[in-house]
Amino acid sequence: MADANISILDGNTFVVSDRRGDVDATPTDTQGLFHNDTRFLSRWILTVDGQRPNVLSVDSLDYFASQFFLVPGTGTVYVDSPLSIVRQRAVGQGFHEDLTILNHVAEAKDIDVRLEADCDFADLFEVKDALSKKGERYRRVEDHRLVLGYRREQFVRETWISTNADATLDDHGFRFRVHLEPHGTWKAAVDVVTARTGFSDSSKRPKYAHAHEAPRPNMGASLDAWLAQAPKLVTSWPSLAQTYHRSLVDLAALRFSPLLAPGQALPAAGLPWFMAVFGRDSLLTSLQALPFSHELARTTLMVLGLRQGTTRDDFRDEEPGRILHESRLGELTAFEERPHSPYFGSADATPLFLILLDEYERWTGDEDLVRKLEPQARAALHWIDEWGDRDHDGYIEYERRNAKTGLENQCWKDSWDSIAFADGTLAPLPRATCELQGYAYDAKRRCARLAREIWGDQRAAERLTTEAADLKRRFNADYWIPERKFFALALDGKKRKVDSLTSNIGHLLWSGIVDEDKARACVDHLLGDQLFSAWGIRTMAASEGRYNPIGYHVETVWPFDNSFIAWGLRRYGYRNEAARVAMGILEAAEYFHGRLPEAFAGYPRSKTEFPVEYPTACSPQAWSTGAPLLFLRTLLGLEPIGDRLLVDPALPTTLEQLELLDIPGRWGRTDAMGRGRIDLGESSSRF
Amino acid sequence: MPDTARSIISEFQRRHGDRRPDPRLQGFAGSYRFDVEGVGSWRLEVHDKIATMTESTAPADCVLRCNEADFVRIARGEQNLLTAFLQGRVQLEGDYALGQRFHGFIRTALDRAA
Repeated sequence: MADANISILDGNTFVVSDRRGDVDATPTDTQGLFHNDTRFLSRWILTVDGQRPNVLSVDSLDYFASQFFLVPGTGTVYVDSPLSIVRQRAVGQGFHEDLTILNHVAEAKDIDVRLEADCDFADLFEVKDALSKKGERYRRVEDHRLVLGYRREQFVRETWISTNADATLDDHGFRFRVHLEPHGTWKAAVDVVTARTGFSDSSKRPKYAHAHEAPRPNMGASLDAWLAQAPKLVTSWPSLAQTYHRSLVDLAALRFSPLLAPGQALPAAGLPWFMAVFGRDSLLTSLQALPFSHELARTTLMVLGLRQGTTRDDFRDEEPGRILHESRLGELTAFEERPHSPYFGSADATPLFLILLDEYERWTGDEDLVRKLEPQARAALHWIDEWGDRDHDGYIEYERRNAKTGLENQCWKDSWDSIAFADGTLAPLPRATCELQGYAYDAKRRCARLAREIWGDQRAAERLTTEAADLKRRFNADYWIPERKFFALALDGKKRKVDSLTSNIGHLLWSGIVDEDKARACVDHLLGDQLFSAWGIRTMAASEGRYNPIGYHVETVWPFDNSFIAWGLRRYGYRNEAARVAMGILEAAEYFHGRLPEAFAGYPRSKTEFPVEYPTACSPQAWSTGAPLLFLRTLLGLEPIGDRLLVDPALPTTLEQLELLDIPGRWGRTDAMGRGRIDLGESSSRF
Repeated sequence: MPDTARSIISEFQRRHGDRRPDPRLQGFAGSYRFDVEGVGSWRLEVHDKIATMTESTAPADCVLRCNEADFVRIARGEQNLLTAFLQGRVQLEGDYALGQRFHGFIRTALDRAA
């Protein structure tokens, strides 16, 4: 499962190249140097004597650096190349590239080295949708550098490229006439600078002077410090150790310092398309990572609270109290051809914000933040009741006000066909998906605790407790499908039950909204053949009309989805079932070298023997990166109780013994350990 | 609706001249300075839910610089501040977080009954 592209990043600046290190963007191959949602380099091609070299190997030195070992094409494997080419690249405020050419023979060589450069200054949305530009591109050579630029009215973006070596510059790149002595070496350093970005972070040189520098993250702890602060995992399963380490490293790489909180980190949603603030993704990832890092949750809450909706703005689907969905900074956003400044079209981010606020305080004891965000929390609660529940039937439902560029589905399953009846018919809008009601229930219960214990508002606590109980009672009556014994995926615009069997019922267990006498039936469905592939729980059951073997939200297995479902299974006491789900995904991770993709196909494990990656999945993706962390929490049964951490392990025998040491929290640091006692039988094939 | 920078500032001062705490300003804290090209500079201070606007070039946590037409459109809620900034029509210095909040703040402040 080797990736054809190489991606390195520094916050929301990243380079996607091929395995030569070249960038050659086409409508179907989305390579480039990107910064603040704009492509600052779309062509970066190295040739030696007019030929593109062949790849020997690629090394990832760190999340921000890579090196490419190349040889000129000799035309045959029987002739050793007389030359080696090494490209070492470090990204940050553009990138720095060291180019080294080694002569391996005892005769001098004269070669022609060319670096071609170009830029389309595409907005990320234009890259994805192949749209054309409305402004003018320009290029010029000045002061020993090549300037590539784009102007539309006062919107100006520029890339500056320069080198320390003797070179001939023209409008399309650099030419080096290289003379190599016998066994000689030639070096050149090239700086590519995102020089005029529209922000005050513009710089005249890249962040790193060479690829072997120690990383200097734009926020929070360095990678080494981040890893040192994380709890230590002790396991006899090497794959789990690899997955845990990979998750921590990827989460560090996905840390993102947004405009609203310079120097602080929240998790961006994924590389390359989602290096931006996303409400839902940042909130869920922060929840997954809470036992391991508090910083992500704190920044996420601060940033989303700061830019909470204040008014009704139909273009942005903004409403008072609503938590944002996605924030972008590119040209289409600037000229309001896309609504992401920010866009608020998410129905779940608002209750999830409240859930994270409470969970964060349970882990950290940071009452100051809960007090500071009290106005935002109250505004979010008001949104749930007034704006989220448009028709005042007691349930959150969504329908975009921006019919042109807004999102049709505003739940996590946001593809066009995800909310459908069992016969395959799409559900009419507005849609009140079931998990939204579970989140609202959980949010109210949690905020009742915050009102009682921190805000000092007993009346609000009692009101929220009553409202939550009423919501639970109504939901269990209105969404339950007695003849199929599961909860409807949604109520549609005509208040009909959308009767497809989906993984959403697992989120209901996590929320606690399910009556005890209905939980067993939900668990049987989740672990039944129609939903459970033995690698994980599918998004939609194979029995349903809209089921598609490679459908994005209508069949695939999403690791993040499974991690919250497993948490829900534990909540209702289904320890063995939670362990079974956790082990399926963690075993799948082995096939992805510890980096779980966004989603993989839901083919039965008995048929494929390995998990089949979904073709367009984004990787690394934050909530997939966070999934192993939440599985560890679930397997070890970690729950903060006051100033102590409850540890109640439920581990399969195949895990033998598991230890998680130095777990941070309001207790300081503590350890959790458990011994495998659950026999999962044939379903777990680890050994 | 006020249609010049000075009339917007005057309207703001009229609505907030009594220095009564405004509960809707809870959570706002800090200072802005508006440099309106060819017109003047004003400094807005928000503290303990009280907003005070004075003509001043003194330093502030967040400085917004733009022409008068853009200032008026932003203050009246007709132009999103972030998109004006991304287009290059508004320069923003200092605390971006405060800058981002200005949009909601100024509308809240101008909506206040005198």
